[in-house]
Amino acid sequence: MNPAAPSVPPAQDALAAEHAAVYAYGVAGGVVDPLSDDGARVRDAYAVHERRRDQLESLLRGLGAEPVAAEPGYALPAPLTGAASATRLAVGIEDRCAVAYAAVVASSTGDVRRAAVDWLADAATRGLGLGAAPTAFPGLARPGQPAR
Amino acid sequence: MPPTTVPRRRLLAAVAGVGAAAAAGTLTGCAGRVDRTGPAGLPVARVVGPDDLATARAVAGRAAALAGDVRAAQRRVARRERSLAPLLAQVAARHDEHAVAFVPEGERVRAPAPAGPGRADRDGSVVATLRGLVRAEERAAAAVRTAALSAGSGDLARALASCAASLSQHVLLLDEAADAAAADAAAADAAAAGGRAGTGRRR
Repeated sequence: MNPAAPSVPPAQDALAAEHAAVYAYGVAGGVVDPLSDDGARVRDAYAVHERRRDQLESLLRGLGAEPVAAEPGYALPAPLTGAASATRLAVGIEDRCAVAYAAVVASSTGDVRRAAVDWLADAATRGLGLGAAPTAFPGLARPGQPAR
Repeated sequence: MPPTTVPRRRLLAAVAGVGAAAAAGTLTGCAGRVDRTGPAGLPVARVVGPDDLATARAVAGRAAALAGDVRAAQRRVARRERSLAPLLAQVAARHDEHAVAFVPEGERVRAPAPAGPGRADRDGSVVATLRGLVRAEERAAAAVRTAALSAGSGDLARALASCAASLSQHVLLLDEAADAAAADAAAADAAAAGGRAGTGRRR
């Protein structure tokens, strides 16, 4: 494998999404009640995305590519004022990750595709647990609709 | 394998405008053509061949069968648990979307014969009906996931993986509904037992 492998750019996009997810869940963890269900979900998601970030970095190194670095900071789509805004942010993060994983599925085979398929299912169900509406095609845009 | 100019507009319409490809404007608006390029510059439709078509056809059929099963379950439980109707209708509608997305254009969905309710389901318990649906969605999710892993086309793999993720959402939703129905049934049983005990004490 090499940095020009077809799965590298989508995997880099997925890693960038994971960096953003780790940042966002870190911020969200500061505004939710740690003893609440939302607090537990945010903690769990933070740990999952940290692990996945590390997996993607390993994967990219294995493909001979230099993993993209995290940005120094990220602009949140809306101010976090409490649990409701934190879970809205989390839903958006899972949605973005689902799109990124779907792109990895399309560009890969074997173990990489297997991992991305499972990550996509995890993002879809995790988003649902955070209050996202179920959809027929998580991670895909409908015709005429931009990818979320 | 030569490029296959297959009548795949519906499936490709479902996967056109997807993720990074959509952002790059590479797929949107040219569904069904074989000279499109994906985000990595590779032909994406060219690799759709007979095996992938058979896979898509099978997934469409399974989705149609599931839609039928869910609607049949909805009819069975509607009289006792009207509140489940919206959930079951939405689940069935998403199965319809899956079927439409994967059926090759010019073909009709061939749904396998419905499995019919299991013994517990025939007994009519709402909880048993929901648990039966959960198992069916789990089986379908596993099958579609496997199809995604073996699909020759990246486009098809992505659509199948997304479909499998949707089915995993169904598992979660129906499982929660089953748990809630079980809790309601237990509470009703406890209330009935309490009522009988109270009656007994008054005697």
